[in-house]
Amino acid sequence: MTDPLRQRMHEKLDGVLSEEMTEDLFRRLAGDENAAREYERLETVDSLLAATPHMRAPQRLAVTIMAHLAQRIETQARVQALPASVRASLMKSLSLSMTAAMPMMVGASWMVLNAAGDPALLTRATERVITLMVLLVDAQISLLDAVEPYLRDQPEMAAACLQLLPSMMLGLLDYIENKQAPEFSDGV
Amino acid sequence: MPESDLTLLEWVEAAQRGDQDAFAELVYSFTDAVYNLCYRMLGTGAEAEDATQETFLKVFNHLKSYDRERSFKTWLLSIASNHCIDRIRKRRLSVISLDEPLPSGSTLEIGSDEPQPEEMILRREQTRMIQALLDELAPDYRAAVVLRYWYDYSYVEIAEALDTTESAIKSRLFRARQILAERYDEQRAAVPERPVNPRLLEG
Repeated sequence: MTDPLRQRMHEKLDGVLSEEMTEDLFRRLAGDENAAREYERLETVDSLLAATPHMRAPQRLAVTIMAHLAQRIETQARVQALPASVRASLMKSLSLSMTAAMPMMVGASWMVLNAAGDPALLTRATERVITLMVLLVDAQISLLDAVEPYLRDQPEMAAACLQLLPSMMLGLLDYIENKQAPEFSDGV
Repeated sequence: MPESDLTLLEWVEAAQRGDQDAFAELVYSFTDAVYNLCYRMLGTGAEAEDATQETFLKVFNHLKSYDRERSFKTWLLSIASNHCIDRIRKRRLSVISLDEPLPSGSTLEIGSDEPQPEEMILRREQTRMIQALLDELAPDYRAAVVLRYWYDYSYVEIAEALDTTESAIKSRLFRARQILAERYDEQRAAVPERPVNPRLLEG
C-alpha cells in the first residue's frame, strides 16, 4: 500500500478530502482488499474516539481553583509588602545557611562513601545522616511555628531565624553524637 | 462577532485589569473543557484536577500576555496541553496493561442508536479501553488526538495550540491513528476475524 493512499485514508477520516478524491479513494479500496481492511481498522478507531464522551469536572473544582487562587494572591501580596531591606536580609541569610550546610553535606557524603565497603557501617552511617536531616527539618518547623506570631509585625524575624540554622545544625550533631556514642562505640 | 464572544472578551479584559470576579467567570466557563483535556492526557481524575488547577493559575499569572487577536479558548487549551505534556514527561508512566482481558462475554461491536443497559456497560468499557489506548501514545501525539476528537480543532488550530506546523500535526495524527489501530487489534486478537465490510468492496 502506498503512502499517498494511506494519507488519503486519514484525510478522509479528518473530513478534509474533496468529493472527487473521496470517490477515487473508494474506487481504489474496492480493488485492494488489504487497503480496504486497513481503512476499516482506521475507521473503527476513528469512530471509537469520536464516540467517547467528554469528562465533566467535579462540581466543586471551579470553587477550589478560585479558593487556591485567592490564597496565592494573598501570599504574593504579603511577600510584596516586605520592605526591600528585609528582602535583601532574607536573601543573604538564606545564602549563609546554604553555605554553612555545604560542609555538612560533604561530610555526610564522605561518611557514606567510606562506609560503602562495610554493609553494617553503611547502614549506621546512612541512619545517622537520615536522623540528622529529620531532626533538622523538625527543628526548623518548631522554630518557624514559634516566631510566626511575630512575623507579621516584625518580618525581619524571618532573617534572624535563618541565621540560627547553622548553630542549630551543630547543636543537633552534638546531640546525635552524645545520644548515640555508647551504642556506637560498643558496635565498633 | 457573536454576543458570547463579546462577553468573553469583556471578561478577559476585566480580568487583565485585575477583576477577580471576571476571572472567576472564565474559570467557571472553561473548567469542564480544561478538565476533559487534562483527563484525556493524564488518565486519572486526581491528576486531571491538579493539572486543571495549575493551568488556571498559570493563566492568571500570564493573563497580561494574552493576545486578544487569538482565540482565548485555544490559548487556554494550549497552556493546559503543554502543562500536561510536561507532566507526562516528568513522571514515571504506569502503563495500563493492554493484556488485561475484557470482561467475559463482551464483544467489540458498536450497537444501535438506542442505548440499552448492556450497551451502556459496553460503552463504559470502550471508554476505559480508549483511555488505556490513549495512555500508550507519546504526549505530543496524545495532545493532537485529544484536540482533534474532543474539541474538533482543525490541523491549523491544533498546530497553533501546540506551537508547531500543520504538516507536523497531520503527521502526528496519522501516526497516532495507526498506533491506536494496531493496539486495538492486539486487544481483539482473540475475536475471530470478520470479513471486510462489503460496502468498501463495491465499485
